[in-house]
Amino acid sequence: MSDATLPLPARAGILPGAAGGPSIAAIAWRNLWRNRRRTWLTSGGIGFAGFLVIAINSLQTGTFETMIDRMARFFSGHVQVQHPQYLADPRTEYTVANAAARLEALESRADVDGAAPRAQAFALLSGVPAEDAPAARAVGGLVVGVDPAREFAAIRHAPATGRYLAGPGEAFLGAVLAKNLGVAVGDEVAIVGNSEAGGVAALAATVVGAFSTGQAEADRSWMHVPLAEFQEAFGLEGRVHAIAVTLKDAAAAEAAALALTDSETAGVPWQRLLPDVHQLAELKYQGTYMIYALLLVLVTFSIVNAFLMTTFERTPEFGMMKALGMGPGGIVRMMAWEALWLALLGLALALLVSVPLVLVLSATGISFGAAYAEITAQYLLPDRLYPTLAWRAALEFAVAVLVLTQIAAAIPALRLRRLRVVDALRHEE
Amino acid sequence: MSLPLLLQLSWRNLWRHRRRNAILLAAIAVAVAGVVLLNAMLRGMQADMRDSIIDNLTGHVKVLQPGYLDDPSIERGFEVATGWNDALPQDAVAGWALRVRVPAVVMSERETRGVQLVGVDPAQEAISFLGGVTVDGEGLAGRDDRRILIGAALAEQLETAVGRRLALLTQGADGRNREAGYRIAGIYRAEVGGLEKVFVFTGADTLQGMLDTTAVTEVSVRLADEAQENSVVDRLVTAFAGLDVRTWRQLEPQAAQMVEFADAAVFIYFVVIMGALVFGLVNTLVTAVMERVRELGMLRTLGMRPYAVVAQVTLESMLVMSLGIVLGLALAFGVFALVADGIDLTAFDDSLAAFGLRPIFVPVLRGEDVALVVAMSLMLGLLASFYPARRAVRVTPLEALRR
Repeated sequence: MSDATLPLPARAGILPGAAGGPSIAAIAWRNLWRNRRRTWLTSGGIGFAGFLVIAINSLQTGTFETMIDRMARFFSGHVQVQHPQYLADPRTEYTVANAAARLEALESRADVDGAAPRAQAFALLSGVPAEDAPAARAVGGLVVGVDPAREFAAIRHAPATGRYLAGPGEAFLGAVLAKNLGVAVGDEVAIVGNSEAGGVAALAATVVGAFSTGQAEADRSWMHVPLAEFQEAFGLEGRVHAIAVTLKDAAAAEAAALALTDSETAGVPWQRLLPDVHQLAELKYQGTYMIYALLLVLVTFSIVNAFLMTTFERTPEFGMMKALGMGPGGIVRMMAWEALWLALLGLALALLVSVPLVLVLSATGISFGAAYAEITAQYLLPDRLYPTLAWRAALEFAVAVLVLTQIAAAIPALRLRRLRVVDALRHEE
Repeated sequence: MSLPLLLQLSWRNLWRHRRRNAILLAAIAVAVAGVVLLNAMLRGMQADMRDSIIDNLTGHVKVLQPGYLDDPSIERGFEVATGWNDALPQDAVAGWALRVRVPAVVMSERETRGVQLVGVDPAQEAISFLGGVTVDGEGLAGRDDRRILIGAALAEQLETAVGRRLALLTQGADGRNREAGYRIAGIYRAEVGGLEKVFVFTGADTLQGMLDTTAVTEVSVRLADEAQENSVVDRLVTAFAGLDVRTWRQLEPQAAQMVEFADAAVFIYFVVIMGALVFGLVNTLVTAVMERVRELGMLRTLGMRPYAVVAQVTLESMLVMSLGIVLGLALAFGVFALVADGIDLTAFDDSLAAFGLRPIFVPVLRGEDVALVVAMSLMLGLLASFYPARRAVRVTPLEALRR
């Protein structure tokens, strides 16, 4: 009695999957509910892990999307058109070729929100205060020549005092810089730098406003002056170092950068303009991937165990089915269906808990307290963080769980193929 | 029933389903190792961030003129009387440095940058990052060295080299601007790249001469024994009446906040990882009870007390947990030994530098964290056995017979 498949034909309605009877899928679903406790615990484990993955990722995605968009709109733009060497080596002579024509072309593109030409250089700034004010100082700073009509940089909307540039001879600068220079609205600032030709570039402007963002570097060292005057002083007539572009869709930055690259100019996406932000996001994502991997390993162990226990308990039943003529593939298929239902149940639980939670929080935001707000201010984040539902993470998790449950079920199921009917029927509970 | 007998019973029960319990053990081991290692990485980051702040010319404690932080100029300097450090507990202090630090503008033939110009006594700077930098060319010879030491990143921006001259412009004690040319003695490379663009060093006497002063702007103290921080602060407050004495936590509150966050994170990791484990643990324990309904009913009929049933299930859970913890710790220590020399995160250098972190990241395994994870895991084993034990106690002889 080595191989004991009995020569009975499979009769309708008796064996799962036989013609006329319930499908294997339906039987598998019912099988799950023969041990409710186990099914809930196993799917609960999947649900818990899924909830964590989706919730954590949603918070991260929300945070970084906001951070990146704010940083981009704040100053750098999502993409910049530059001289190909300017990013690595920002020399005054590396200017954008045919800037005027490129600016016009950019402004007519449908995916472009705003395009701002800029010329910039580090320079020595010194305040020229009124007679009775304390002595003025000299400080190094980044002077940016901008076109006030086109400039989108969000610092223009954050004046701590005064207003943004409106006409010639004006300067708008960081509040800390203003303080270090000892100047206030109405005072003069002298700017001395190196012109393109290597000579001295000098420019005087009247402070019309100061901005305060919480971002230390910007507040301490940035100054905006009108583009035309900057170009004249630095010997750059009509030329700019960058055209900063904001896009309607920040996610399209890399594609847009590629489209804006040609033999004379480079399109530089925010990932390279703001390398610290990009790397911070990548570092965080990779760090959490380690946690996801651990969660998946634990979930897989728990599923393997659940199937080990279920096959052990149901050995006599499998023997019986085999005796009634079910082929070895049938049992494996049924276990595969059970694994599928279990995975889907767990994923449904995960979505049921995480999606409403994320959606509610994405409307109300989460506050992490005042101390955290100081840190986030460095990256221009608002006090409250708004998660964005991370569909991609949810999908990746779902695929991983579906695959892993199939493997987990296949291990004990394949062992059943070697099952001998007589042993199985005799199997002690 | 005696405890040894119960232990024996539980132990044997575990061996009735080797494969199942082996998988459970593996799961516990992976979870414990995961929590321990994640925590070690975070601790490494925490230590790194803290050390970087302290190295970054901050020290553990600093004495400043009130208002210097808002307006860092030589006008906010102060004189240091000799003998100021006599009262400091010598065993608590690793070293101290007197510095003159002012904002300045540095100009090469081609470029202009804003920097912090720091006048130092090189012999005192073993307490800061300056003591550990690699230098192309020469370091500063003494506090009367008339040359400057600049960072590699700044040298690149200024397109300059060792032996060339740079013009430095800053404000003197009388409020007037001073400009002077300095020869570059050497170019330093710092572990945290961001520092290279910020700090330009020269001899303290040289800078005082340029600024026309004998004052310093800061006294930085590095501790050898952090437990004595308070007493050092008290002595400094007495020695420098009228000045501000600040700890690194007060000077860098954001970073201190992030360092503190790491203390809470061990609990977060534990809840996340162990939460995923507990479902499988309870599942296996309940099954072990349900399979033995007949046997438990029989034992009850024969007079086994309910507490003995509870003890048996609880012991089973604790035994698996303990074994899993031992395996998990072995796994964690094994992996830790592999990465103890450091993990190369150079790819994230820009972002790490923004937080004052070094690109080579060394995890730190702390005994008290491991003990905490072990204690919490054992507690979890106890809690996880609650439901299965309750189910086991409810087994009546009648239920057992119906099976």
